Amino acid sequence: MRISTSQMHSQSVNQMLDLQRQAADTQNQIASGRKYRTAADDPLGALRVERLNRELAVREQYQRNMDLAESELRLEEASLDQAGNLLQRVRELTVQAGNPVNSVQDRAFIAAEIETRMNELMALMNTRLASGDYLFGGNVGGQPPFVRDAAGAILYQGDEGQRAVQIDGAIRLPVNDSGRRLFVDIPASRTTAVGYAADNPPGGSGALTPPQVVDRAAFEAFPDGGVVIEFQPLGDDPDGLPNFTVRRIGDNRVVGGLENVRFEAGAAVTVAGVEFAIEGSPRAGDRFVVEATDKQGVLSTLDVLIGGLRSLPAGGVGDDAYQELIADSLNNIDNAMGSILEVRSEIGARMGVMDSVRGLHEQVSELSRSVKSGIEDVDFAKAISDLNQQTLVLQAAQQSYVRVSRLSLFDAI
Amino acid sequence: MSNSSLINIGLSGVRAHQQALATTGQNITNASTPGYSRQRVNLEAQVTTGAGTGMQGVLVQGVERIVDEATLGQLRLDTSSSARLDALSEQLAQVDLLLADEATSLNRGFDAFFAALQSAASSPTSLPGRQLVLSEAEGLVMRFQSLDGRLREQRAAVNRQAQGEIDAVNRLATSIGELNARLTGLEAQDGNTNALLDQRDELLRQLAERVDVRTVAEGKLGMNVFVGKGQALVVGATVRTLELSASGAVTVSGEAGGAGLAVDVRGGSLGGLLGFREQTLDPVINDLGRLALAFAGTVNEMHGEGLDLRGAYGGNLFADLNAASAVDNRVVAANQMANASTVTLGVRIEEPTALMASEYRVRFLDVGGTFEVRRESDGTVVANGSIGAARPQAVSFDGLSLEIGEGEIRAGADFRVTAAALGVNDLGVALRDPRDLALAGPVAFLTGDANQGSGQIALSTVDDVGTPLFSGTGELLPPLLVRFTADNRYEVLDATDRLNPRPLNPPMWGLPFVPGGVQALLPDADQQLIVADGQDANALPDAVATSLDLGAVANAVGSETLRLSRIDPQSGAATALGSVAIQPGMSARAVAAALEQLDGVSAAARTELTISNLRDNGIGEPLTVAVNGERLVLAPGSSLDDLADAISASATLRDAGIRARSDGTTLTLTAERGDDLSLHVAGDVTDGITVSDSRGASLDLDGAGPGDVFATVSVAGSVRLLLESGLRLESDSAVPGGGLFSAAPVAQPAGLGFQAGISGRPRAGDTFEIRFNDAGNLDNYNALALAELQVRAMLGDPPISFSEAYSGIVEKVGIRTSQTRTDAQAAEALLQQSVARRESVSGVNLDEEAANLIKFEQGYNASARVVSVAKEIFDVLLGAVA
Repeated sequence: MRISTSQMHSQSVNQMLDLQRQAADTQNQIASGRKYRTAADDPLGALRVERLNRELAVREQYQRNMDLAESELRLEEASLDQAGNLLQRVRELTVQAGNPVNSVQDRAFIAAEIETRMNELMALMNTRLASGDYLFGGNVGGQPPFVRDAAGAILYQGDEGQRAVQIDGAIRLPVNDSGRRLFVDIPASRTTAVGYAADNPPGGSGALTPPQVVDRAAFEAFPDGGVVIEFQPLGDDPDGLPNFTVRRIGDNRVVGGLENVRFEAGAAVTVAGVEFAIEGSPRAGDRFVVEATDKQGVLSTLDVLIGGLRSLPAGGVGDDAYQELIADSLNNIDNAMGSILEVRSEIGARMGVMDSVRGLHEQVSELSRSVKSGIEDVDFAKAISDLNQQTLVLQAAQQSYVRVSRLSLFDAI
Repeated sequence: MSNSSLINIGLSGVRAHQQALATTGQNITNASTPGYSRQRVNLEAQVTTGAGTGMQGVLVQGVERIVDEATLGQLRLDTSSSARLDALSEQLAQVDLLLADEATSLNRGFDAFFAALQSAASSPTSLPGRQLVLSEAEGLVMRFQSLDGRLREQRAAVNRQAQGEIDAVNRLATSIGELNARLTGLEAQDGNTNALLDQRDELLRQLAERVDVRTVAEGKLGMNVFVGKGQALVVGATVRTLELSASGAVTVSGEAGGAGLAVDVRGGSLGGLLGFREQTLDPVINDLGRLALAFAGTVNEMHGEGLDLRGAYGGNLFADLNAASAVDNRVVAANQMANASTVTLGVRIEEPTALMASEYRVRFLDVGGTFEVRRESDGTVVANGSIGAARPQAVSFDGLSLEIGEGEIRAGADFRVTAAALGVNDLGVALRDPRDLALAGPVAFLTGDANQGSGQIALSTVDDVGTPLFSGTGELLPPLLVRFTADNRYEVLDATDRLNPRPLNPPMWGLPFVPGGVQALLPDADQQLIVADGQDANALPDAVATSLDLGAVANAVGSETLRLSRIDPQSGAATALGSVAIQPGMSARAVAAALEQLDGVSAAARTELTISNLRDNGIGEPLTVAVNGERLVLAPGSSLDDLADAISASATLRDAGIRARSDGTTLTLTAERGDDLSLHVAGDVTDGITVSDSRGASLDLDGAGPGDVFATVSVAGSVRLLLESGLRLESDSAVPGGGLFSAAPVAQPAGLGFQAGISGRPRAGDTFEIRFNDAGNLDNYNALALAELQVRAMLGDPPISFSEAYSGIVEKVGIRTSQTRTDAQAAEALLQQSVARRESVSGVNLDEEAANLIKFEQGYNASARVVSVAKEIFDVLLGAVA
């Protein structure tokens, strides 16, 4: 083919430009350490790297979540360890109190120490997290979960919420246990009665004292579903004074003829073997519920124990009741310790899950990083040898261009 | 032969070679001139036809331009193609680089936002943690805006560049027109046209760099130029101009001020720019906008399902996508008729994850409002019909809802819907106070204090806070109580008064519980609930039957056939799935058992009646009441309470699931499994009871004196069905109320708006309260649900996650850039070949010209010698004569 002079020049120049570009690309790769800069350089590789980046980011987040979860679980475990120690001490004191040689005075001393331990325990049950929220209130972190109301009854103000954190795509790890599960819903050695105010509107100041089973035989007939003590309109009383009616919750039948009973603050009321009193001044419409339950909170157990140690007479019939109290209390304390141990073993299991998931995350992340490096990192040996090759060819092109372009017939004319 | 002829021959040679040398000189000096074609002097031996030798020397026929029109045509094609791909590749590289930049990557923003949510989930009460979520949301919005802004800047630059190319095209076209005119003139004068032709070919080549052109020769030297699909740009000396319209389309001016014709420019750098704008830039802007809308809409929806630190439902985290201005801005008039129409149009985002990255055109075909909505990305008609006169109306398509308001519609009105393109525009963070971040779930669960079993309930999902249950502030309407009526059966009640729970409306009793694992507590969101107690089917017959024994009495249920069918959501066509025939007198329990066999149906039955006004004269025959054959003789002076106690005390009845509850004035008798309840009453004529059914119709059962003569009635129960979505149940019951079911049983939505899971082993009598979660500030249900969006595939079909959607955009641009780069290289190679071919034909080779120089110089010298020889001959002759 005929070749024009300008064509000869431009072709050579184009070739040299091309070689220069290739060399510059290779140089860029070596300088940046990456095989490509944008998705266009390797669309499939870029997509895979992007996926791996997402995966690494998500796994990194799971690791951070686990760090937080671990600190909360460790705090909970430490608190429970301490609570267990306190209960162990109380148990020893109770055993000691069971010794028949103890005088009334001795019992009072023991009661005093148990009370101290109980206050310590209650403080522990109201432990706060670093954020200032209460650890054992379930999802209710803003108020102390365990408080004593006006009538001296222990109230649980938290809920049963269990918070979880995501530690893997499919695993949500619980990081707390509610105070109710740990310290309230504890199997009691015998069926007991429990009472609470039923969402009364603000205004009245009535409070129910902890109900006590005073007559086991009568208690057998305690209505299923419990009873409600409802304050009636003042007009229902001949003298227009506060009065209440006790009904079965299941069908609203009046229990034991307790209809429009005149209210006296603090006066004991007995329903089917359960004795309780209402303190303060409730208003018409206020309601209080008393139920039979197989559970007893650890603080209630200690309340009953301390009360018994201080009030039960020594000797005679009193001794039987006293020994019964000691036996029940020991049983209930053991159950409370069992409840704590159960949760502690769950915490241990959660830590175990976390360790294995953490290991998995680390392994997979390591693998992802190496795959990613394989896709996007430069193979320096290859890149440098490429660069050598390219510069060599460029040099040859430049030299041959100079040689060829120097030839001209005009030089000979 | 005359001597003068020899001189003439020599002279012709001198002249011819002079011309040849001049042409060679021209070639040499123009060796580097762009577009120059080498020229050649065409020589011809001159002869005459008269007497004599006829030899006349050499004649210069003309100076020829060495060109090959086919090669030039190919060169123009390849130039257009290469210029197009170069422009495309250059623009794509900019987008590619922008999207590849980790600093502006949206995925970085997504990661940071979700990481902040995860941290907030770990510590929901931490205000700095909540603030971080808001800051990262801001950061994400800024990333969206920065990307969108850069793309729009590029779009403006592309338009400016296109305008520049169009100006150049118009300049070139004008020059070509002028050359055409001069060439026509020269043709007439037979002048040398080579330089002008070269010039015109070069202009055409430059034109081809900008647009794809087709040329048609006119006459010997004229050249007409066409662009697009054959629109004339230059015809002879007449030149039209290209224009860039406001909407960005290219038009060519029409005849004398007529309307411009749209030109479909495909090639050249202009074609590359326009193609880039339409096929890459606008789709990417739409993709980003759609991602912004889908993300903000989904997050807002989910955020609204949670509770903030103050116990209120979450507000919009991102700006309301359906703010009035945003709704209006999404529709713009696209033609004159649309401008003249007064109808108000707006577009709302209804289903963010169903959005498509496309523009839509809404065309009204006539004044009656026959319309058609076309998706521009693929030309599919997504909605059509006629809106008629009733306004306002809404038309739904692709997750959008077009709201057509009042006002006149002109026939042919054409509107553009630019929801996706404006997506990033509509994006913003609306929430300012970190306390307003809704991280908690809306409900809390309370296990009954006296529960015997180990059952536990926890929140699974919140599906919809638009249900009545969540319509209150700071409370559930109503709060719920789950009560186990047996170890394996429970009911859900209205616990507005916790100590006296009432049935829900619609009622939810007889739900089965299977111990083991975690079981859904409530019907699913899309299930339908049917409660059938017939119009009168379990009502009391008019007359009281009498009986001499306690044998079973038939209830009043009539026969009917129930048919179950599946309704196709699109066509509404029904497919039969099965049927159940109900025999007269069948108990609700038997009906439920039969229905339970049908796929997609779960059924439960229960019978309930009330007894009041117990009358006993206390003497003579004792009042005797038999419940389902169990004879209960009441002592004189007994009350309803005593009857209730007697029923409760019967082990036979307890085992049959029959319970009684009396509050002193009313005794409620319930058959837990839906068996018929039959009552037999005997006693003195003044003795008796009053029986009422669940709707309040009542009937007296009185004694008939001595002997076991019983007044008797049998009451059938109710059936409660849960149907999967899309199923329909029909009854053929001819007599209204003849059967348990009405002809078209009303199916109500069964979902309450949330789902909970129940685990463990509850026992009969156990209760669980479901309350508004007003105190649970540590609850992180919604934070986890929001954080899960990071990996949840929910956008489009098949669904992908938000991050994947962004990666998809980057990948799409990357692949296109890489492909275009390869194509551009191939086109460049083809262009090089075409250039080489043209150069091979028309280019100047200096060595060749040097040789020509020597050759023509020698020819010149030799011709001069011919003249001198002629002179010498003449001189010799003269000398001889002299």
